Amino acid sequence: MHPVSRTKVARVQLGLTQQELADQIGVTRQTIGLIEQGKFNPSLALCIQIAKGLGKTLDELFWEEET
Amino acid sequence: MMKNMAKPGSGPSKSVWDERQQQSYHTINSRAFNLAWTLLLLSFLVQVVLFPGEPGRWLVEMGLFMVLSIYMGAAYFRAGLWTMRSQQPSLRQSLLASVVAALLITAFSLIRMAVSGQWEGLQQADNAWSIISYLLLQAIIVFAAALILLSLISHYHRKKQREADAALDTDE
Repeated sequence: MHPVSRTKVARVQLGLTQQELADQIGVTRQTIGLIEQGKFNPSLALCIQIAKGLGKTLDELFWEEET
Repeated sequence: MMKNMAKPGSGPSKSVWDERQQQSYHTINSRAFNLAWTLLLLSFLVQVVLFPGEPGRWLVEMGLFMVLSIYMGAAYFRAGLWTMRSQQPSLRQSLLASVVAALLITAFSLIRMAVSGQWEGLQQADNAWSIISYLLLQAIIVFAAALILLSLISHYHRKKQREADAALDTDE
């Protein structure tokens, strides 16, 4: 599964809205939306924040397996 | 746990923007700067062509353009940036850039002369020869000046890169 979709799936599984996740990690809702759509590449620092906010590891959310 | 962590975008600057907003802000500023720089150059060139004997009309634009260009050049140099297509300068690049500079200046002079009517006496051999001599001399001076300047900058760029590499080796 594409990492952007994984971020969205993890968020939905936790029952969080984009706004709630955004508030938790200190970014705007639009930023979360764009990351989930793959239209914005977050920095490593922000990736870590998102992973912590969603209770996942960086690998689980952002690592792309080579097919 | 999250409360103790630094939030992205927060810090000494006290910006309320997150990193995407800051990135967008910088992109917009960069585009606006490039647009302003280009328009300033065009404005300066058009005024030089239209009012060649009245430097008061275009000196301010020329000064601003020079200040911006020198700032950009110095900032690129300090950041260790050469061209987007190569990391290191070469003599071939410098020669090519110098030729392009000479050609551009010559083309601009031709346009300026055409607008100011200096070509009208071109049928006379003396006038033609003086114009060709002027253009040729100007092209040679621009070529030489550009090549010397680029060679000097290239030399210091390479030196700076070597120092940076040596510092990294020491760290390892």
